[in-house]
Amino acid sequence: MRSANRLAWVAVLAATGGLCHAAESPHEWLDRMSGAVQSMSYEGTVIRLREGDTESLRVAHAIVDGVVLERVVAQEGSGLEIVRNGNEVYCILPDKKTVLVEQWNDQSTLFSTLPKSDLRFGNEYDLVMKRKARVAGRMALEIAIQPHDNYRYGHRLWLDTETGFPLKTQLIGDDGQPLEQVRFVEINLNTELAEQALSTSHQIEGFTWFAQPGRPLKQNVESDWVADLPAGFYQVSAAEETLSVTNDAGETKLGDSPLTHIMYSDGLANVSAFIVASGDSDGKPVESVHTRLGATRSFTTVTDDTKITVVGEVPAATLERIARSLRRR
Amino acid sequence: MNETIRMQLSAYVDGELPDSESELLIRRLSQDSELRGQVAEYLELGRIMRGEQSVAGIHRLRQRVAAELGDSPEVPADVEVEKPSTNLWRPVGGVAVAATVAVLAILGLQQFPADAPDVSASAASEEATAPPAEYVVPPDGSELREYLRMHGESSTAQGANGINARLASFELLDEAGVGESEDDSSTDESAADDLTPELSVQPAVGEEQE
Repeated sequence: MRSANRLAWVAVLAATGGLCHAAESPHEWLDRMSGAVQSMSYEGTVIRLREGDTESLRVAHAIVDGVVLERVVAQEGSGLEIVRNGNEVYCILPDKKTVLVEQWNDQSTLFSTLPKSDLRFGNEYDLVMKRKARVAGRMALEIAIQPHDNYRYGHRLWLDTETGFPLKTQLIGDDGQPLEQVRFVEINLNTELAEQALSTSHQIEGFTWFAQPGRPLKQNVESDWVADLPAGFYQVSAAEETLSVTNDAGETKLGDSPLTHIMYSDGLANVSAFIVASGDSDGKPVESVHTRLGATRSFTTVTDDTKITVVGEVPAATLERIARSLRRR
Repeated sequence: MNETIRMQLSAYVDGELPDSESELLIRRLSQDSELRGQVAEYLELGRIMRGEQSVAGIHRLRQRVAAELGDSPEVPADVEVEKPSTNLWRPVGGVAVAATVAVLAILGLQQFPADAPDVSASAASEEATAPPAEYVVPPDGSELREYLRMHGESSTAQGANGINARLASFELLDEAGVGESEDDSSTDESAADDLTPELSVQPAVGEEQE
């Protein structure tokens, strides 16, 4: 009997990874994950799966003196590279002998998959610890974030039991199937990266360089737009911004008209609404359209004198509900 | 994905799977989207390990599954695999690029006209409804690309992951025609070494300030 009990206890330990990890709640695991993606250096190979379409990427990430350094290299095709040095992001297209430069004025990283706080689990989502599995040769704990309705997507995270780093993440559609997946097939965590791991491998002398125009001052405003939001969504911010548009010749310039950018969130899913005067759409009539790129969707509609485009990683119906209900107070 | 499926896949891409078993494999793939994803990932992993640019036979498999799904490709499937793609994140070899999926996924950015359902505030139901299924390629993605960029930036400002929107915006760069120019007359080789942005063909016109 005692032997049976001992066996059962061993089985529990094996299933949970030991008392230390078993004592941690799902929220604590998510906190560990946030800390890991913000502080750890890593290098590895990722397979990104999107609607059955796969691509493999070589990624390296380090934070040196508070500056984010990253390099992402497509492992087939044109050899596209994205090199990030702080806020400067260089997209190198070797087959076109082109370098595109962008400014990313934030600390986004490839695998910061969740907001740090403000997520009210129990209202719109449930947080569930699932099982353990091996990912990229390391033991990982699966955590599921399950939405209560079809206005938002779910998430599954496989967190390294040693560090909390997300070795595999999935965005789950309302049919329960993954819409997008990012999975490491091999990874070195907290490794000291060689300089070349974070530098471009291409000879870029003679390449043509393009840059996005600098962004004008972003003005936060009191918005007089209201929408019928799905449960749990609330307005996070409203700002006046200026659209920069690239023409057929590849020339990018800032537009003349301001646009109102309102961001909504339920604490996990974010939705942006862009509102401009419809007369700014080159005089061409704009019909209501949905677009989709992986899990990122948009919906555009024109009502009266305004053109409204709503963008987010949410189901199409969520975007359409918000866009069609937006009106001035 | 079990070992039997793996062996059938290997045999299929090598052209060694009997017709009867091929039919069963295709049917199963067409009916199980999760399995299609697993197969795509499995084939990609195999390609990486072997250091191959592509896997012979994968193109045929993709066409068969797409046909079984009832999709009528507007773009010939082999175009995507055999020719360098202009879509930044869509690689040439793309082994499993849409190897197992409907042709819709091959198109990358997809757009479909809304059939104007009444989803006004009063009429919106509590349960989301499925979107229309008719897709066309959008004529111009530059404005949308900007929206995706702004959305990604604002999302990360909230502490959320905006990288997908960012990558999506890179994918749309080709829609805007960036990088197609053959003119490199304005290139300054001396500064290219240190990846400084001062060589930009398009000068910055302002600075963002938070």
